[in-house]
Amino acid sequence: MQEFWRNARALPGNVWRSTIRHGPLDTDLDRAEVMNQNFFLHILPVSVHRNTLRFSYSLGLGAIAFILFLILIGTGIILMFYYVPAVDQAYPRMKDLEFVVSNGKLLRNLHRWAAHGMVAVVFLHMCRVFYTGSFRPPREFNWVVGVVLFFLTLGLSFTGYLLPWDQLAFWAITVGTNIVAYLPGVGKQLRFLLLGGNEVGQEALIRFYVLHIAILPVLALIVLGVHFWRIRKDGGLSRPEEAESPLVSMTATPASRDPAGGSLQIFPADPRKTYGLMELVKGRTPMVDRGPEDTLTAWPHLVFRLFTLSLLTLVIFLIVSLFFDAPLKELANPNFPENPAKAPWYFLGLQELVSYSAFMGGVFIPTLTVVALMLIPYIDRGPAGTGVWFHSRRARKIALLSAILTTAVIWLLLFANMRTGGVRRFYPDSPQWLIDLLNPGTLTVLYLVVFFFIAGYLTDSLREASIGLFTGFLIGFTLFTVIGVFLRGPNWEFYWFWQSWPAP
Amino acid sequence: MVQRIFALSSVLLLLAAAWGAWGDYSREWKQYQRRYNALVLEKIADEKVRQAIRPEKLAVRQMVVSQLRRVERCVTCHVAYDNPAFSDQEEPLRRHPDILKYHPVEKFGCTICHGGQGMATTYRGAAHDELEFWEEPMWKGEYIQSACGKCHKETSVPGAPTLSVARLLYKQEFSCDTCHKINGEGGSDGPDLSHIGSKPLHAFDFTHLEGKRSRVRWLVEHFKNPQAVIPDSEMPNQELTDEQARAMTILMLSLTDSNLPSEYIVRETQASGQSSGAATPALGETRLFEEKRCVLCHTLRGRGGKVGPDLTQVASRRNADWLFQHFKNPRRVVPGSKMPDLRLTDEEANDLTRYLLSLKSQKADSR
Repeated sequence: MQEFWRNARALPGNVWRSTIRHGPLDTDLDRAEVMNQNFFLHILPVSVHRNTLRFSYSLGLGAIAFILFLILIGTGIILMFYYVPAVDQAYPRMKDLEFVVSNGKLLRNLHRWAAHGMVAVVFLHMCRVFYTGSFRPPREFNWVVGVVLFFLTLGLSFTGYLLPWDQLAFWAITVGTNIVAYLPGVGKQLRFLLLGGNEVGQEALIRFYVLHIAILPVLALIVLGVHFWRIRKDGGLSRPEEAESPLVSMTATPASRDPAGGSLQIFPADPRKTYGLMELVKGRTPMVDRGPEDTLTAWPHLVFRLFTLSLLTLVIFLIVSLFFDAPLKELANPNFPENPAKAPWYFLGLQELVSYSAFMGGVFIPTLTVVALMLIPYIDRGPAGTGVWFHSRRARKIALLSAILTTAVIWLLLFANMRTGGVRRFYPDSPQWLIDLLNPGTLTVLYLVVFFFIAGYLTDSLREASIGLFTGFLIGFTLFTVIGVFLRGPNWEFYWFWQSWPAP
Repeated sequence: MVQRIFALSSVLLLLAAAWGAWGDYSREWKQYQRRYNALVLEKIADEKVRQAIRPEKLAVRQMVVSQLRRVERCVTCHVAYDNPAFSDQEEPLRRHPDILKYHPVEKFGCTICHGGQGMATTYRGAAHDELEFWEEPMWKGEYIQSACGKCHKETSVPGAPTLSVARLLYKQEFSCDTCHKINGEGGSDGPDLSHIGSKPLHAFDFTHLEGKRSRVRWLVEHFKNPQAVIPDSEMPNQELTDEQARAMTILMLSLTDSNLPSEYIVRETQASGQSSGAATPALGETRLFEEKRCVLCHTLRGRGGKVGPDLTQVASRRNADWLFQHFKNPRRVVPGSKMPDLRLTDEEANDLTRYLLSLKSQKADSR
């Protein structure tokens, strides 16, 4: 029985040590070891390059996107306890959340703003990765994985948009799924598959719910896993060549001398040396042929930064949620369309293009955009400009020029289209293909392509031309979205944002 | 630097969380329930009883009225609705008037009569005043009679005098059913009014109506002068007084698509006032002419509307046969005619034909 009392007294210590198997992390060895002893930490590398920790390099956008995703999962799960995806219960449940459920209003607000935030941040993250040339080999595949994640994010946001079952939700999804129907051949069937029928109703609601809470999140998590795995395998975040301190060959024998003379042989080859700490796999690590001077241990440097970033993100979105309420309009009414009936904001650029031409705006341009995005790393293979923002003054200038020019071109085309009334006015019997061709959307795309080639031949730099093209795409996407969000009123007429719309 | 951001974020998080928690804890309705508990205690004279009483816990209270598919949380603030000791309190702690005897709260809830948003637990959310995106406003003053009209279909509704007057006006004074249908009864010239009470605000045309947009205003103005609201309207201007316009508006707002269970509906118990014009009218007068309001569209002896032709001399243009056929079915005799089918019996058509023909002899006499 002595043993019993002995063990009882030692209980706290034993429990602690069996759960947290290491002591205080005082040495670099401790800090390195812990990364592979903790389940959650082992997603991170043991050490990171100093460039990775530089906030101005990545702006932490990828991390912020992931943090927002976690916030969405957390708030989403709690919301699931209260929401019912039935057409006669969904809306009353939203009211319950607003008025009765403890912190229901805050919860819903946080979920909504984090969702919108995530779409924006994921887009910005894509832009950052492009501008820092971080898609270059060996990271091409991860770029494509990222594009897939972007569309999963849009899908998650879109499916969630329907769930409140108010006028905003109902008509936004009506418009969005109608655009899907424009796809040649499979469009109508795809729409039927999404809606579980021919109109937005109970079937659509349950399908969107299942997609939103189960299918898409699971897919997103799996693809995110691949995304993080690829970051590890590709050697962490990208960095410029110059930021790497060269290391003497690891395989040099103690007797040989470095050709440059006078440098230390840090890792002499020695058959008796074991590498119990490292994983012997193919691919790069930050340390391959590189000096340790440029790296820092993930614990505490990366972990602490990530934690602070999580805190900051949560605080910002929490404060926004305390001040701004997520919209909830009247109960969905299939008999009374909203005018204008607008898709969610991230699809409004698309809707604006569709207003010019259903085929171009709904099918051709989006497909072209997706394909072009995925092809970027296979066309621009660098290595000039990898790991830095705007590697040359000329690159910066081209980006600026493209931004200004694209803005000007789009406004000009928009007003030309409005003033003249478009092709139909001049030539009432014009064939559809002519209208598809001569509209602000298609002409912008044509201009971008022309710009790309002109810029490319003039600068003789693929990277700079790509920067010009991507900037044009980014500005164009943003501008059409802004037009769709702020400058389109009833009947999709143009209204400056200070002009009031006529009441319906 | 990172440490500073960490410190700042931590503090902000604490503050934001505290504020959120406080906001959630200090709900609007708690003050009313606290006051109610305090007042209940005050009203108890016996000291011993007062000590023994445990005040009711503060909680959201709701009534689920399943037949009407409503959840009513009004009683969260209006706790005293059935406490006789609170008849003179100021709202929200005032006892509800006795009409509740005939409309028990468990069967009716609150919003079916009062309007508003029963799911809410705040003053604003309950739509006491106008609330954006909530289409069932809380009725103010005599307009609550619109709610009575949803179930009470009799001409004379107990406790709803304005509504009852309106029903009479509809049938007899203004003969609205000549052109308008309600639940299948009436004419088809004007829009069907069966669910006009459920028509949302944005479905009303305010192009020619300046000022505040509300359904009540539109209806009242339209009743007072249809052409002022819809310039090319064929609805005759019957020069309603302000009171009549309000009464008719109340009637209109009672015509909803609520789909109430049939056990809630109260039908007509006795025959409503039907005109029993069976007596042969004296020559030169016919009550039917007045009843059917012909003078709205036709001029007679200098008085009347301009939609149809002047009837003063009609006898010199048309014979009895033509007039009779025309009365029975105006559009068969005159294609494209604006005159509605008055659904006259043969006797009534004869009556009116005789009357119009009599005008000729009158004129001849007066010359």
